[in-house]
Amino acid sequence: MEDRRSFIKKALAGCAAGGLMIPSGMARIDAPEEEHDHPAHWIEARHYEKIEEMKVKCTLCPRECSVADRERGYCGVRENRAGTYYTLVHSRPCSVHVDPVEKKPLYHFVPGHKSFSVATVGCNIECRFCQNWEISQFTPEQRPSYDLSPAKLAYNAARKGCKSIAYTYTEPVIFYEYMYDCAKEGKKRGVMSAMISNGYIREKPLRELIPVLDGVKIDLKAFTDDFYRDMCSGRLEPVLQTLKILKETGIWFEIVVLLIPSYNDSKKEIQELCAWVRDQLGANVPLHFTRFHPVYKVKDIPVTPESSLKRAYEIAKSKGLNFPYIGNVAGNEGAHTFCPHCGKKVITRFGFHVAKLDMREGNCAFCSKTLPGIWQPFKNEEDN
Amino acid sequence: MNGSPSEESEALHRRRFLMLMTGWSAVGLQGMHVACSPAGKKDAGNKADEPEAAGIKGAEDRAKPIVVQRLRPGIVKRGESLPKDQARVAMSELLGALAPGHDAIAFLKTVFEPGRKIGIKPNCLAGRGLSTRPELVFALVELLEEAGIRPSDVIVFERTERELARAGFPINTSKSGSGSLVMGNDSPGAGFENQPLLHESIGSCFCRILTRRIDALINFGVLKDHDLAGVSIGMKNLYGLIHNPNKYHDSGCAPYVAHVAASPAVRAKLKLTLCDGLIAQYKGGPALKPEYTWQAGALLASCDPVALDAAGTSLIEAARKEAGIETLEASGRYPAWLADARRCGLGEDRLDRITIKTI
Repeated sequence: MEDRRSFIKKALAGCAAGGLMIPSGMARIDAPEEEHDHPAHWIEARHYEKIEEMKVKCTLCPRECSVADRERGYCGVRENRAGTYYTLVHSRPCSVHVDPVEKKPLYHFVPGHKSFSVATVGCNIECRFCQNWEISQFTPEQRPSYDLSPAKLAYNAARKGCKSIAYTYTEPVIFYEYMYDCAKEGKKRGVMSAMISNGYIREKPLRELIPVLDGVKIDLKAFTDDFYRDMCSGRLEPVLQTLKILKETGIWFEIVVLLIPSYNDSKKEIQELCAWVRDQLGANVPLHFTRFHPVYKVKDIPVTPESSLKRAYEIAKSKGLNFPYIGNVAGNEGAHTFCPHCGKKVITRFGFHVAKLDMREGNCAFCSKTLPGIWQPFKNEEDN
Repeated sequence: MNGSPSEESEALHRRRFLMLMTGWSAVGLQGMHVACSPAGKKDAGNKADEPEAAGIKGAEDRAKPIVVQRLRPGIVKRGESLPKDQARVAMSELLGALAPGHDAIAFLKTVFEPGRKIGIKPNCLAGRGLSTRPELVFALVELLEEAGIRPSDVIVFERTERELARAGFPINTSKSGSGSLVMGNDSPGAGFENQPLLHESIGSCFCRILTRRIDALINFGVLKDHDLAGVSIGMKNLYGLIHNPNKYHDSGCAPYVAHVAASPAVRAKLKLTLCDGLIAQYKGGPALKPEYTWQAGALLASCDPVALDAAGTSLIEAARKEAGIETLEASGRYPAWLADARRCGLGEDRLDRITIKTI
């Protein structure tokens, strides 16, 4: 029988080991207040160039911010201090949560598993319809954060039975160094990593990152540069470039398009987008069309009608894409996975819940044909 | 609406009446008009920002906005503080020059009513050496007190407590004290509004100190070059009022600087713009680069935020010429947002239409 003293001792030791108590519910955890300006939080950025007069040029994303001393880049989380560029958010997530991987959404990435989901503040674009703008459009001083090292994060993910870590909610490219380090720590514990991103990243950092990742989801905001410029303060071409690199490297990736009525949901645009995906990336890339809800700076547009989502779904099918999906609509047939070979339903989903999985080790349970995706988590690196 | 005048417009009428009765010059009156009724100006894109073009009779005779510049080159050296009594004299002379009879207290009384809450926004980004000097800010608080504003009704605020502390301001977030609050937008109970305010090209959450805790704003920037904006003098300092300034540095910060200043949240409350250029910097900003500073000994004041920035920019341009480097104009960094601000009806950026009163 354990006495009270040893019980307390063990409990404290558990906390010291980095045990964040992650509730299993869906609500985001309120992060505690903390001192933000301790130099220990500043980690030198991995992708930048020093230029004259103590200025730096960030080479992480296509924006390539030129940043003067004591200024920050567009993302708001990287600061130039006397000619050295720092990330201010390494080990400082503002949101930590356990989600079903379907919420990302990643539908061909070990379906039904729990994903340890993490975000810091900041983003390198500004979507006027951002669902998470209350963290993505703020700076480290403006939002409370945890102190959570990559090792502690990986420990917690494994302890919670999560098969993956998802870098999500905001834009993980802006916490690149933290994501990279967490992914490496995760591998040691047999936890995969998935980047849920806008794809706004330059080639060199992307290629360096891919080996530590296992899956990627890219938000393709639209298929016109005008939309990217007007609605996201970004550009389309770098995102398409990212998708091509993902295809080339062979890493598993899926694409999401948030359909905003009258902005990016025209028949012509969806046709062009689907044709490009088929021709450049292949017919087996899952393409999710999701429903928009009015938020942030776009509040005068109604939610996406289900008919628009269905039309996009049908266009994708007609263009030869094997795995189109409809998201953010409860009970829609477009949420399920159908085998492109025999046409049978192999994964039945309700919301983020996988209700039925008719697959055997990555093969259709009905026709035994292999379906594209990651169907089994990899083994612990330390076990090898 | 019941047709009765609001408290604010009543106060405005009273002020105008007093101004007329005390025999203010037409120039002074116009200067005050710019400051006290900014909400009455035409907004961006309206052709009425060009009075002549709009065919307004007599518009060409409109009096020019006034910028007072107090120049005492070398009054302080780098690393030195201004003694308290000198700071008091400097601020008194500066503000006094905005009023007939050189009476700083009379001027402040005209602009700020007792019982109203006043916010003072210094610029502390660069730390001690190139931030608004605490001694000047507290001299201003003293003058406000003599004008009937209790120090406890004054909030000195910046983006963060850290920046204030690094610039030498003593943090005071206690509600119980009698002195002025000195706090950051990150202080307990401060923060930002929950929803963005959309105005022209910007969409930002404004700090709650501005939106909820003060009735009037005094913007007290510094005189310096800015890598992206061209200069940071007055209006650029208003970026410290919004949650996402990092999103508005593209294209030389134009037109964003103007649109932040023209947003209803700011426009309704900005009453006075001041600038600390005792030590100024003509290159390498916004951080302190000692090799590019000069002992300008300059203090600027105006009720017209655009005119003050235009006058300050001309000082920086002159310093650049004297140092033998390209002017902002020649290097393509001249702040285009100055003209944007004029077009928003915030004031005048054309130097030939500004009265610069050097004391």
